[in-house]
Amino acid sequence: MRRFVRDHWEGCLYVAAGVTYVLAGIWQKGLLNWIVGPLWLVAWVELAPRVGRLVRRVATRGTPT
Amino acid sequence: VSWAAHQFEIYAVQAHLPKKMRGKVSFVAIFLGDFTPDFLAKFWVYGITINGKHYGASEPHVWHRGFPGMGFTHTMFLIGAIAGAMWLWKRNRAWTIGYLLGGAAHVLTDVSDSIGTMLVFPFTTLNWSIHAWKYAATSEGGKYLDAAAYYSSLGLVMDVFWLVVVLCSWRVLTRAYWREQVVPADPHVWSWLGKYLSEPGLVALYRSIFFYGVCRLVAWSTWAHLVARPVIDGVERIGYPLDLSWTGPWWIAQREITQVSPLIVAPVTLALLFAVYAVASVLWDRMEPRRPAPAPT
Repeated sequence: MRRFVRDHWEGCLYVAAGVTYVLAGIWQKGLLNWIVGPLWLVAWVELAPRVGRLVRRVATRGTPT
Repeated sequence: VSWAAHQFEIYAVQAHLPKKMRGKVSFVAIFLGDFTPDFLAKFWVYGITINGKHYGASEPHVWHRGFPGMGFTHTMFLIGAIAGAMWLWKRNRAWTIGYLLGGAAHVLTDVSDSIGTMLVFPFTTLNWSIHAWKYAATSEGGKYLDAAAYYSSLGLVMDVFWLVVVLCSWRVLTRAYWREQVVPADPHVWSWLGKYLSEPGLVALYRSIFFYGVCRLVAWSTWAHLVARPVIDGVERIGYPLDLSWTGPWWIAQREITQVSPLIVAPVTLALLFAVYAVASVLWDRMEPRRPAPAPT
């Protein structure tokens, strides 16, 4: 699974963005608009790797050496 | 009203540019051209409700597509006028032609519903429509009923058709295509955006309208057919009934507007589509920047 995600990182980000946006949009239809839709994808692609790096860094620091 | 079709058609236009224009027409301008009609007219169609009082058009279909109203925003006349002003201001054919093609796509697509557009405004204010599905934007039903009716009718087929057109031209969504065809046509825009976004972010931004189209198609269809519990003719139903017949869905009232005969709409719309491409092609050559004559030796 990890390897698949690593090999298809960008595609996974797009799918995650799409699934979360569709679910959020069905729940709160005001989100389904010209501004939020495109920004949702850009935010996932730009922010998810940064969040991932941050989490990894925090996890590494917390590991006893 | 067309929904995700407007998001998909800009990629279809980009993917089917005449050979001499490939890599030279601004994608941003195609998007803006397609975006302009509804940006100018749609807000007041649904209106807003503040403290229980509704503010908006009393007859949304007339306001949106008719005359008097904002129907002129959905005409080749306005799109051509803005494209012409763009050319006079910046002398930038990448933007002028891109805007023209994007706007034309929107105007011609909207002929499909039961209200249509004033195709040959200002020569006549009659609306042109092929009545494939019912126009359903109403002040009472708002966006929800509009979405439910659209995704229960041939509108759904229209969205899927444009999605398939784009998927058949899938290369238009690749990073290589973006680098080779989209960025060179708009170097300033993309380099400015590059100050704030990484390359994956820029590619995502390019693909984001497609992403939005797919997501709204899935989300609204799912809501309309699985989540909503409408009461139609006094019966509560699980989801709105699907009706893929011509002029469907049956469960919403037909709006009336003065129109030309539907029989001549399809051939005229097709002729206009070819005319737009022909005019764009001729203008493209005439707008070519003149190279300075070589200095005499």
